[in-house]
Amino acid sequence: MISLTQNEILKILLKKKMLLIVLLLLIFVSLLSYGQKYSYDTTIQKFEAESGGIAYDWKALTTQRLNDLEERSQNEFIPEEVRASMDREIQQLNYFVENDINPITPTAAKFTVQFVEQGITLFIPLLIVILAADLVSNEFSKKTIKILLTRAVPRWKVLLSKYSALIIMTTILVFIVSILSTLVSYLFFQQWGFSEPIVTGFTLIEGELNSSSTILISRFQYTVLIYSLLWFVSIVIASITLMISVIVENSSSAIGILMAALIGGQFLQFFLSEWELVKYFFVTNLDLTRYLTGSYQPIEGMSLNFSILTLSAWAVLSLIVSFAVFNRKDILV
Amino acid sequence: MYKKVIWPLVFFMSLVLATVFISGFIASIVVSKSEETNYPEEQMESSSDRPEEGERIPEDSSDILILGDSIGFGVGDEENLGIGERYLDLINTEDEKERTSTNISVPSFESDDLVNLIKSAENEASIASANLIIVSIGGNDLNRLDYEDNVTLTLAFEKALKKYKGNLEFLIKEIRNLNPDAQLAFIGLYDPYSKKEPEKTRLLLEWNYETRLIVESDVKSAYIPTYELFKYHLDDYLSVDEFHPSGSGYQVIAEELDRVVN
Repeated sequence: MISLTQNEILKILLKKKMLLIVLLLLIFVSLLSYGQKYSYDTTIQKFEAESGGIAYDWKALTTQRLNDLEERSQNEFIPEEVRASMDREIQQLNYFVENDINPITPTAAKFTVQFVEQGITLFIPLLIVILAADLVSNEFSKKTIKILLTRAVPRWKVLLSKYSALIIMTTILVFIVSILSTLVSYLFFQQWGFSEPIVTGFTLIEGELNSSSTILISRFQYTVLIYSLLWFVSIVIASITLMISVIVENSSSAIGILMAALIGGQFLQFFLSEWELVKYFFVTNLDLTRYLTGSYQPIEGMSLNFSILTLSAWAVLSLIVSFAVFNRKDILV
Repeated sequence: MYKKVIWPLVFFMSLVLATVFISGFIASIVVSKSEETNYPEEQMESSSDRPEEGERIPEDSSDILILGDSIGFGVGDEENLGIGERYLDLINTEDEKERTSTNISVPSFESDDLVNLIKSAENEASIASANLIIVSIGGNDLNRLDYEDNVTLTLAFEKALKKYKGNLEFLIKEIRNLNPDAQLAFIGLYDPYSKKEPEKTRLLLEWNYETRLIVESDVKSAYIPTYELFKYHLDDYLSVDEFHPSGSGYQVIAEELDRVVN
């Protein structure tokens, strides 16, 4: 079994698909970090031009906000929950002032998280699809499936080894995404920013976003959380891709089907508020990171747990279907 | 050689990473789940605490009471005076009698929060004893819609406006129950963004219009328009955060209030 998995990993590596994915990532990460750097610089320039040549002084602004907050939290009429969330903001701002960091400067830590937040619905699933789509279908189109299945190994073991290899490579891919986006964006921004405190843990109370139970964690911890969610999403996408790859005997159709599902799912989200059923579609639930940031529009009945359960159900179902289909499939090549 | 090295490397790396990811995954579920169960208890505690605190009466009951959000509070005012103090400065120079003001505004309040605040017993005394009640609310209700995209904006606006109107009617009724004689003054909304988006300005004007309709249904309530005052003077009247009024912005609102009420 282990040697089968080892063999599958070598197949993936020798196909040089990882190289293609890393190249794609490199290109996009560099473009995005350059774009962010550029737009940051122009914003500062515009601000300075508008305010009549006065240098942009973030410290004065931040200190004003800080004083303002401190004064407000003295106010005895403020409810306890509001005061707690104010204290957290004060802590956060204090960090920026003490460490002489402009809160809006782009840093490598911010970029890696943003990259996941933007990419988790489409870009990163597409990379997984590139990795996984021809896993089984390629054996059909190259007719190597005959050789594979004539060995004295049960079919399910063959598929399981493929799946394990896929999980391993997906895990490594998520790691590569984090490393590449951190390193490349550091080259542009020259700031790590991993120790910066960040607020998370927003909750939904009666359909409204509630910040009373938020907690303050460092950006490094936050990054780990975000990437763990990305890893889960990637595993789910990999499982669904495996199913398509087993059913369709042609790699390019497999990629096509998955791309259509991913992009079409984005459009379906427009109907989310009216059409109940859309909420159970896997694409609608891919954006797990938004539940941690507190900047999303809550949709009735959707929470992190709901999305995780729905995605898990999709993954388990696809695995069942893939194994059932693969076991009974007629090999006519 | 390559084949022999790569397999254990890949295998152990993925094993370590998977452990990290799984623990992180569980952590993020815990982070967002724990509060879901905790919160209702907290809420119940705090709501049961409130009536007991209600016996506390503010030491000096004052003539002017300011209710509402950050604009009522005076965020952005360089001298930290706010509308109430600035209005007091205006009328105290006119007649001899010294008056005082109480500010129970809370920045970031929406109309829902204000309704809750009014309901809690601790503020009844200050509402009942005031001669003039200045209310600034609704700005945060409306501003929250900035996150909406163009498709959902109209719908979300209708929903927010409906809720706001209900809250406003409730507020006036509740204040009138406690204090039938006080003069009420509602501060209208201004547009802090220069005319980049005519659609949003239109919504703001509609919001103001609806506010006005409700406010004018009460005899001793006045609507204080600010949109016109700020329209061509955003540079002077907005503070450095480009959202809240500056000292001179608050001064203009206070003067307008003086003109309307007296």
